[in-house]
Amino acid sequence: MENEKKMITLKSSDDVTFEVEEAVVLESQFLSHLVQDCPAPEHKIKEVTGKILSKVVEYCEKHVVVVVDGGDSSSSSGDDLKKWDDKFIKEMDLSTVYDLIAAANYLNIQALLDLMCQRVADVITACKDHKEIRETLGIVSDYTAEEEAEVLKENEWAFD
Amino acid sequence: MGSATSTMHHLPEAILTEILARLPLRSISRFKSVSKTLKATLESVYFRRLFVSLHKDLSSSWSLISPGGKELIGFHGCKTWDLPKSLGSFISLPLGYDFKASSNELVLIERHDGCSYVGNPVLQQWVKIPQPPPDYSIVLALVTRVDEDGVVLSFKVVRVATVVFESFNHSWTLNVFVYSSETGIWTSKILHCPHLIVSNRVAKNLNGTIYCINGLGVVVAHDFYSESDHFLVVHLPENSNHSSNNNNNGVLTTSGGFIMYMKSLEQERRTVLKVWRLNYNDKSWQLLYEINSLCGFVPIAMHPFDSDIVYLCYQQSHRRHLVACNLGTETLIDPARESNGDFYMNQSCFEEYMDNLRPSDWDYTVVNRLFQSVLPRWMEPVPRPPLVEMIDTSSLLSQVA
Repeated sequence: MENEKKMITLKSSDDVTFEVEEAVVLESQFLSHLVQDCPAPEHKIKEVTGKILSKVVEYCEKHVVVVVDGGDSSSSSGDDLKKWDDKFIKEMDLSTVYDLIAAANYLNIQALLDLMCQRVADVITACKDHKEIRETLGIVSDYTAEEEAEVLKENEWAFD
Repeated sequence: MGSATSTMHHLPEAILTEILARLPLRSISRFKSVSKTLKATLESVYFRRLFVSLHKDLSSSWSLISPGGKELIGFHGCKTWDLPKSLGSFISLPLGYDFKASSNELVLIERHDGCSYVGNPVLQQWVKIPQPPPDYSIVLALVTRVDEDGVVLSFKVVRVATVVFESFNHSWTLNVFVYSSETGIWTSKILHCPHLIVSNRVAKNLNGTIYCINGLGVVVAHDFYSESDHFLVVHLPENSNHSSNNNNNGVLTTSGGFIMYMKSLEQERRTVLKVWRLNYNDKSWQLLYEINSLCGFVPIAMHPFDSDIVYLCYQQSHRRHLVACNLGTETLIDPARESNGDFYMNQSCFEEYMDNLRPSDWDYTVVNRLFQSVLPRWMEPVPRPPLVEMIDTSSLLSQVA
């Protein structure tokens, strides 16, 4: 019986530490390779802050538990996981979402990256017009007034 | 990633593209007005590939429409387009105009004097088709050439002027006019067909080829993008030539990129619904389904993406109902409930349309006259013929008023 679970410590750019099970770390392709190649007890992740790393750890822990406990009730736990994901993203502001996207991209956690990209896409879809999209995403227009009017006319069908 | 608020600009460009590829086409269209740089990204080949790969397993929106423009079946709840309303409600036929043909997402509308337009009702883009040559002619078909993603590259309008029987070779000679969006002009073509094409049925079309069901148990097909001047004959499966009613030949339709044929048959005092798929290479029919105990049910249409799902007419006393059936599980289904109201079957329009038939009769001709309009999984403007200006729906409505 192998009850003892291997623990690994992750340290953020601002030196916040998280002690997690190895299985949690394996959710990240990047960290899997890091742990295999360099079997140190502590790993510093210079690109991710403590605030964001705590979110990443929270996400990975939840997903590991559900996958491991899966078994027969896998479909219901799949629904639960989706509900959990929905709640997880709903509480987040866009700035955090962007940071999480960058972290998930860097750490190579595809499911988290997909979830976050979809979140931004949903925010954009909810915007009623191009002005609201610009405002929400902080994009500055590079159109002249004439150009903009022309593009708006071409895509008129999408605004109603 | 410092403590300062992050914005979209901090993300690598590849990630930004990943996000945008998750938008439905309606939002992508809106996003084009946000910035010039991003519009260029959204119109790049790379972006289109990514979008199509993310959406390839999803159904797109579609409709089954009567010649008068009434929508009998409509599904608009797809994630690919995110339409706020059904396809049918995008279509406002100008007064005096009728639906004459459809192909993929394009429709052809025509007035009795021959004035006609080809357009995409959702994108609200219309192309005025120049008057055909002065000889009297009627619309036979609208055909399209599509790429691997089902996006229309070009279209052709086909009109028949004369049909003459040549007794020396027992064949019909058709004098047709073809308008191509690639050239923007009408050309004349002589075609030979061993069977008479019945003009009161809508020709189904797939990849530039039209398929016309004929009362004598055959389908005649011609590829209008080929050099050939002949129609190909495909015999319908299990056709009894003894049938007294020539209009009982079943329904020809398209689904999942194939020509499909459905028919309900009386066999040993029970009704059997059979569904076949045409194998394009050897022109043979493959039996996909044979469903028993469907007494009183007659096939009307098939889901354009999922050939497990058919729409049937159920006749009870003097009323005709439209129902959906999953052939895989052999059960009636309620697609409206499964898709949160983004799908509907318009019972009253269906009954009204079918009222053209006497209650005791069944005639597949009325069914074969219905149009299927199917949106592709990517959005491109209507192919614009040289020197032709595209007009929008409101200009179309005011121009013809």
